[in-house]
Amino acid sequence: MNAFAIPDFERQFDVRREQAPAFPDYRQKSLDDLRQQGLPGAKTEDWKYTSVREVLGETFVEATPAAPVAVPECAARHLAVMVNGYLNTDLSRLEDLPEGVTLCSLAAARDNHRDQVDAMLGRVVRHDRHPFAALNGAFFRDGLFLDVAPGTQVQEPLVVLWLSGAGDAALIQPRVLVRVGEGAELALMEQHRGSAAGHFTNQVSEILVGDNAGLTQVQLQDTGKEQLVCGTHVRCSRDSRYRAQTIDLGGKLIRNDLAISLDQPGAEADADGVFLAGRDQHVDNHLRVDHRAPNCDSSALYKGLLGGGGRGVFNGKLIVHPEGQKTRAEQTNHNLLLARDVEIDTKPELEIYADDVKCSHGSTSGELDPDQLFYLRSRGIDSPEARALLVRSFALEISERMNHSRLRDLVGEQLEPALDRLARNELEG
Amino acid sequence: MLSIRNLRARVGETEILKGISLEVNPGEVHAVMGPNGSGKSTLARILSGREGYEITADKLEYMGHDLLEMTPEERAREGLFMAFQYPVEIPGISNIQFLRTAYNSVRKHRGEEPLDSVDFLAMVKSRLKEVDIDQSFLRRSVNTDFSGGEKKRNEMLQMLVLEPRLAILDETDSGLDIDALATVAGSINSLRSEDRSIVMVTHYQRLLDYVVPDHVHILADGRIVKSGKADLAQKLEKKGYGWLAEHAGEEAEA
Repeated sequence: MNAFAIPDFERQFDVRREQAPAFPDYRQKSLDDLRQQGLPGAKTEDWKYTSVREVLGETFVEATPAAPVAVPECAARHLAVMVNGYLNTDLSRLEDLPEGVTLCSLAAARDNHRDQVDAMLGRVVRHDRHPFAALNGAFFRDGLFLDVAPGTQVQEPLVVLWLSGAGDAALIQPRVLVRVGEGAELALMEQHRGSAAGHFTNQVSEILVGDNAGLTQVQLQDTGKEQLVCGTHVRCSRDSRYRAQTIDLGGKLIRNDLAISLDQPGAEADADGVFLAGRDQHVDNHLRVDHRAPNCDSSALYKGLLGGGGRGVFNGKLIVHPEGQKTRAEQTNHNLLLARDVEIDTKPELEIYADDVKCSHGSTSGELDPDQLFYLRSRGIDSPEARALLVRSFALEISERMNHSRLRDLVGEQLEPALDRLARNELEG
Repeated sequence: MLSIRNLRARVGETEILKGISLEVNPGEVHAVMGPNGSGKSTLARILSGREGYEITADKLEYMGHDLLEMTPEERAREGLFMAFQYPVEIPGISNIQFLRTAYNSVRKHRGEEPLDSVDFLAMVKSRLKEVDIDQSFLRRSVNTDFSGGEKKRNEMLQMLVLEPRLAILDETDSGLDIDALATVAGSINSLRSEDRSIVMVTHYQRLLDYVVPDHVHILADGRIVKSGKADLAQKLEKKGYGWLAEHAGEEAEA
């Protein structure tokens, strides 16, 4: 097994060069981009509140296909199971996918859909200020390819389960390419389920939402002792609709970079999130929305719930480029602090280079509202139950914004018990 | 039912209630009236268990229990209900979920089985008619984006569902148009019975045309300055609170 310490990337790259890996030009460019900016440190602005010292100090083994530690029950009709970043077709259920949907490993797509892969790989992702995306570009082995042909409707959600195998701390670096063709619709739910192992996943997704197409994407992350850096880069074409929900149920380290670019007029994007962090958990959501064309709308609402010892970070950046006239955009982050020893760093940023726009941003952090608590108690609901109800209601506002009912149910099945656990822990602690 | 003797309450250096005594017997309806700042809402809040006041009293009992020993939820489970002057908005909790949780908390306290959602819904639906609100109301978040009138009707709905022994209504009539006032008054009247008591805290006499009280108390500057029958409210309506201030002055001098 090949030992891999991330700071040793130059030498690792040389070793691999001799094995003539696929996509040599893109890998070389990724390496150059990584070398130029370096790995994140304490002085890197985008990583000011999230330390990756432990990840950079670890010697991993490079992940290979393996059997998963456990497969959670999943009743989804369309299911793709990824283990260590590799598609496991035996565990997947792909037979009922509608005609027009292509789902395969990235390696298979390279052989069978070469033109589409070439048209996408490295074309959506930004490496600039995303050193882990560049790292992924230089070293990814495989991943997932998903194409929804123009006009194809996938109403029943496609669930992608990201699982890991047992064994030594592995470096898992999948690349995901998703294209939703013109006028097509896709409901996608990705679920990262961590194990007790010390793996590190550095995932990059490149997503294209075509003209008048719709993509609803849920990323549900419950990563336990594993660490996850997840970059999702999305480009939205004319009159398209992209709706993202990031649901973090906690993990040792979760860092999301969701970068949405509204490239053509009439595109709409909503990015919502809930993040839970308790003791020894660190959850960081970085959101960036670029308005690069007129008449585009975007909104974002992130809600953080921090239990004792938990650490949360939210950074929302909204950039309206000179072409982005008639932009309507808002970004909001509200945090509920359930204990005293928590930390939240929240920073909404606005950069506007167009004059005819309507933009707003804001952020609040506070404890449970004593008036709401009293109101519930005055109706006979005891204090622990009243607190649990308020914790749920705070987070479930996000579910109410999800208009795909099946996805809302799938999220609720996991979010609601996690909220109850969080509320209960805070009462006991 | 409710027995108050020499109740005093202060916030910091400011004494708000300066020795209130009040007896409310089963079946009685009392109105507590008074100008702004007289302490009438403070009295209601203290009875419901609101924190933030330094309280002393020779006696403060509800159904023979020392109220100061009871948490707000214990008071509610023992049948004390407070209709809020400004009902709190709780986004994300549906009205029906809120009502059922409250209702079942009270049932559990009485040693009764919780009502399942089907039976509960049937019970609530019959109550909805009484407060003249639409069923869609149940799916909406508690008081969230409700109009002033809807919030007050929602308080009445909760009261009818929870069937309290003692209802304290804190300015439930203020801010209502005449139709809503009639509906609210109807709810209060439907609750009247031999074994229930109602205390209406109000600034205006208007509600008392619809719900005729057995006793009226006038509160000024933290004290009950006058008590009487329903006609006292009418007298107050004619002469205004100014008359009362003079009157209170006379009494203080005497």
